[in-house]
Amino acid sequence: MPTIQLTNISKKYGNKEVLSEINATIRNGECYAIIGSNGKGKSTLLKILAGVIPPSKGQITYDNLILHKNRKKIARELGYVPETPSLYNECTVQENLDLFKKLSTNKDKLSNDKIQEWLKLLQVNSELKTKVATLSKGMQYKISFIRSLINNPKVLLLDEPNANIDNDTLLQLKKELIQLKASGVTIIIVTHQLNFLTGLADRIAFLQNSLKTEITANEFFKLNKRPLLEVDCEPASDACIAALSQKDPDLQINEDRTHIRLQLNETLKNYNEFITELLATGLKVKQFYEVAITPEQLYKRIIKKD
Amino acid sequence: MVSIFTLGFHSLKLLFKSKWLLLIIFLLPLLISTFVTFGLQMAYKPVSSYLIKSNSENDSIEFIAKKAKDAGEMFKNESDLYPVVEKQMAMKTELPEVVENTSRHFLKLLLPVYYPKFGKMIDTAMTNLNVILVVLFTISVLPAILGVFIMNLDKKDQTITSIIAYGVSSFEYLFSKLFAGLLLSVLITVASLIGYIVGTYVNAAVTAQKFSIHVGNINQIVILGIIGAFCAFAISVMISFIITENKAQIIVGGFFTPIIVIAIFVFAIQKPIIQNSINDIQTQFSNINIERIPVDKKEVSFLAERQIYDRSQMVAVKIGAEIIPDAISEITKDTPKFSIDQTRNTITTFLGITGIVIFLSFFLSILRFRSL
Repeated sequence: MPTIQLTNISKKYGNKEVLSEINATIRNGECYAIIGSNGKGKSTLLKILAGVIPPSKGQITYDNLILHKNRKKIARELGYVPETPSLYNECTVQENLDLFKKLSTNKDKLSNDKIQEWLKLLQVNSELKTKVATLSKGMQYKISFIRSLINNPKVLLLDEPNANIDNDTLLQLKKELIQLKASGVTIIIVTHQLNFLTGLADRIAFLQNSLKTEITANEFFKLNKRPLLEVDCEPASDACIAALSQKDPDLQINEDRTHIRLQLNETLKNYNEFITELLATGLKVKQFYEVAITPEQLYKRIIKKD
Repeated sequence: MVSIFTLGFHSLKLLFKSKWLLLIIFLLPLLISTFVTFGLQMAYKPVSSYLIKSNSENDSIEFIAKKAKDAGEMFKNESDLYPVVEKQMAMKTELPEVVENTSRHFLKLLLPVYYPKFGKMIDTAMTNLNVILVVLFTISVLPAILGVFIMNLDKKDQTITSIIAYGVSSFEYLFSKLFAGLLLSVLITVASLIGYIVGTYVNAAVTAQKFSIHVGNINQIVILGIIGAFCAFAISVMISFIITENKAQIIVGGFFTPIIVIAIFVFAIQKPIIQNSINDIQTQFSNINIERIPVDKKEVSFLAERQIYDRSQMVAVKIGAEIIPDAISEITKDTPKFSIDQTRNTITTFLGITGIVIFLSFFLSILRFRSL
């Protein structure tokens, strides 16, 4: 099983530098997540890792094999799930899978029975004769995922698995990814949604054209469990804001003081307790809700923590 | 290698999922070829070609009608048979005029040179038509263009990403599309050929013209195939490299590939074996397209007889059937055959076209280079 080494990876599109001096080591059998907001080079990095596009500078090695010199050999044991399903829309699911099975040069590629098992597991076995174009985005992603497994990969690269998928499918996918990781498959996930990574990722790297920082799953969990809350209210008084600032000194408030965003220092045990605290400050709350933390916010927390 | 065929056949399968596209790809060349062949052959005959060339100032039909009248006049003045015939004919109009009118009417059907200028244009085009070039383009430029078209279809589904990720190299991918383009091109050529045969057959059926076809031997086809494949490869590499984002590839594809291609081509045509092959192929293919078989005297005679008979000039039949074909035969006996030795033309034209391609390639490369 390969250790993946990225050395000084840079990528330029014209004069625009999308990736700059990326250095990282991804260990065997770990799940390495790359997070960052849109347009910061995550998908480009994954494409470079998959050998789909070359880097402008630097090199990638899989178990000491240089990717651009051994692409065929490495691709044999690689599974790549692009963000868009990249399937032949006018062909059926069966035709798509058959084509990629023919293209796979791995001796240990999945047998038809094994593919059937995956189809059943992800509940798409009834769609074999269906044209891909008529399937939902979630279904298409599942097919694309199964296609990436035909190679029986030792490294699985996933680009935004949670992009167009409903929660149920996402949970199912996550479950299967945890299983694959347990069986020794190295997984590299690129995403800008963090909740998907809980319980799956071993290490999380924050990418903003260059790798800013890396944290472990435990650190990530600690940072991510602090809930981010948004409150809609009647215009808040100075006293209310002062009281809320004790909970989060960096709280954000709009001009007419009717919308407040704050992050709690500890896990939210229950909403009743929190609303009582809010009302106690004299704030007239219309509604409040917990929002998903963005990679930038997480990054800010990491910097703060450092 | 396997992936080239797998992807190539898959591209065709994908293309033919659309029945309309299949119909267009097959039926369009068939119909166009049929009608164009029929139309061109109707408008262009060896006789008309000769007449247009030798009588550019005169109306061809009037010219030959006058010849027929002269022949009739000669028959009237010099033949001992004429008094007998005149008696038998008991006609109001004199024989030379009958023959002149009949031949005019007959020639209008036989030689549809309705617009001498247009006929002249077609004649020039057909004379300059170089079959080798047509065949070369069918198996080189056409597959390359079709290959790029098929690649564009893939672009829509963005499948190239997952295919490349499966270890297929960009060259294998390119070749697979080229392979599909070549198969498609063969299909189009076959459809066009069928159209040509149908068009020629129909044409031969309605006018006095013989229909024959010769195909080159396998070696010549192989040589053509190799040249075509080489051109197709060069053009595809050029196109593909020009559309990449890699400056080094653009330089290689846009600047060096055409120069290398032209250098190899120039080197190849210096070799007697290649020159002889091109000559042989040209000869073979000229039998298919260029050399028209002159109107057969017997057929003309038969048709003339029919025409005269239809005009109820019963007694003039025998005379007319003799005089008109003789007049036509005399005029058309020197109908020039097309020059077979077109090797120089082939090479010159190919180099000229390659020059244009190189210029375009340079131009596009510079544009692309500047945009990066």
